Amino acid sequence: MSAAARLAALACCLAAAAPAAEGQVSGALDLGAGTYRPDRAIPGGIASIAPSLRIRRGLFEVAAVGNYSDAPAGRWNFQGGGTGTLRTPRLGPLQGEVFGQVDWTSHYRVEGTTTISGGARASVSPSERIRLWLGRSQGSAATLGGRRPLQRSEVGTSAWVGGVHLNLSLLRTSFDLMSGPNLGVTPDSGSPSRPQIVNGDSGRVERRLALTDAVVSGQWRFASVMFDAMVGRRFSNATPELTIWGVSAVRSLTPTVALVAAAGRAASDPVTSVPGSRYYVLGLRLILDGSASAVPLLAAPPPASAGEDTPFRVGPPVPAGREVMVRAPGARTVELAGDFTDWRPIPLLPWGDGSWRVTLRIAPGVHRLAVRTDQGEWHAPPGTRPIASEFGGEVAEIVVE
Amino acid sequence: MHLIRRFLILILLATLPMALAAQDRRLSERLDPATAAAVQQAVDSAVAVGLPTEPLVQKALEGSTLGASGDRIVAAVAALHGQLGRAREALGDDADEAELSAGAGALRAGLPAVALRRLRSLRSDRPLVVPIAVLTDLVSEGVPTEQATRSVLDLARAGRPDDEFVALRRQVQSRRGAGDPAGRPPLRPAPDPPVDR
Repeated sequence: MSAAARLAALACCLAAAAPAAEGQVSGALDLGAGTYRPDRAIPGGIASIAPSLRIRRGLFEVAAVGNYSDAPAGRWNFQGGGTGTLRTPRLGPLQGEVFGQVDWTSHYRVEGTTTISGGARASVSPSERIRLWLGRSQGSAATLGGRRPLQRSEVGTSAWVGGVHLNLSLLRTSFDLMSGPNLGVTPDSGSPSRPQIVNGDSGRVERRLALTDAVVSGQWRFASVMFDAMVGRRFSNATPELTIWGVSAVRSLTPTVALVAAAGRAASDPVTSVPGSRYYVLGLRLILDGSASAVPLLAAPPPASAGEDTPFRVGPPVPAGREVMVRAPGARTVELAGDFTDWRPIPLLPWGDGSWRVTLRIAPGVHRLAVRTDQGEWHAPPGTRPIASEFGGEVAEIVVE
Repeated sequence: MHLIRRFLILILLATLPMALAAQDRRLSERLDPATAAAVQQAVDSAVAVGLPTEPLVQKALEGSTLGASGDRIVAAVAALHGQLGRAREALGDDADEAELSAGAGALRAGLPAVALRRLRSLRSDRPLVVPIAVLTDLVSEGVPTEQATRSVLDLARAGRPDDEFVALRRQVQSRRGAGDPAGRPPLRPAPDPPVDR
């Protein structure tokens, strides 16, 4: 199947799945352009199209992503994948999940790879702001008419520190070697069907390649911009160590359009033979569903003293101000006005979980404010006590500590 | 003579921006000219008698955002001007802008000025914004004025921090949410040390 046909098939699946699903649906289409400098290949400009879709229904979740990029001289690449995850109900701080994953790649004049894997993951959340997880998966990668088994093991933790969502993870991928000039692998004279590689440092003969990626990443919001940064190191039993990094910023222009900028140094994927690269990309993100967030799927920092169902909240002070959250599922627009905005309506940004948020400078004290949805009447934020305004509408007075 | 005229013109040009700056641009940008002028008069009057002006401007801007007519905006600003004056009489000349705004809100909610005076006398060395806001909230929630005032004054007399005033309000709200009638005396944070009355 050609890349264009795969992309069309993926788009059809996404379009068909979205209305059919009764659960929470979020999707986006990224359109970008930039420079791409792959390892061992010709650098140049690229244009890319990357659809993504996530559907949640109860404990079940399906996610699909695709990325088609077009380079000069007709060179193109496609990467796509889908994941289905079934979670267990929470048992106190514990939760488990099983998942299945299919990934495939396709390239101009080069055979692609299809990878199928499945596994399980267990997580523990000692508090609302910290999570640790451990996972293991097994599968096989098919390319050039052959299959080879692969295993992945992961351990990680995430925590909210101030307004930053921090992640630390270790991912170990191991798979049987496949002979080929690019990998410098030589056939084993003793067993010709199994290639091997000699470790330059230890002199050990390896028949499996193992990679470990140690990555630290963080996501945070400043004003209306969501930032994402990661840095990591790749360790391997057969290849040189490599530092990988990436930064991106997403600025919502409207509830359905965002500006995206990204740069980084990606590692190669020996399983699919996708080379490592340096990239600099600028693009637009189109939100396919109004309730979806224009920023990457990033869980909101859990409030220190309120549950997820809190209808209205003014958060603690952070460098950019205080985050104001209004829960308004199904709304197309949400605006806030108060004495801390000179009563100018300030649009809130959709967060993807029914909540709308904005970060504003609000001094401690008593403040008078109102919200409105979909350009309707001004009223007190949900969960606050309405006060009849002299002007006919309803407002609220809150104490910011 | 020409020199003197030029000098006067220069003085006029130099002071013109200052005179224009005295008019709040937010009013002229958001209100029609007649309403902006009337509100500016109230602001100027507040300056003359030493009252804070920002609450008056915010009241006018609130009216503009809520789509009120110019007459209603001017009436609301004038009423607030009067409430700020009464709040200062009750809270004293040392009261800051936030306290005067909170006091004006309390008077608007129907609290007597004497309650503000008592609060000031019991808490002369600490900010009154939160206690006044909580007292206003309790009354607005339907708690009888006398009972609400007594509860807040008890906390002030005991020298409790702002957190406990906020906790008192939360307790009342949670009990109301649980079905308690509004007339029931508000809960007091425990333990409550004995105080001299």
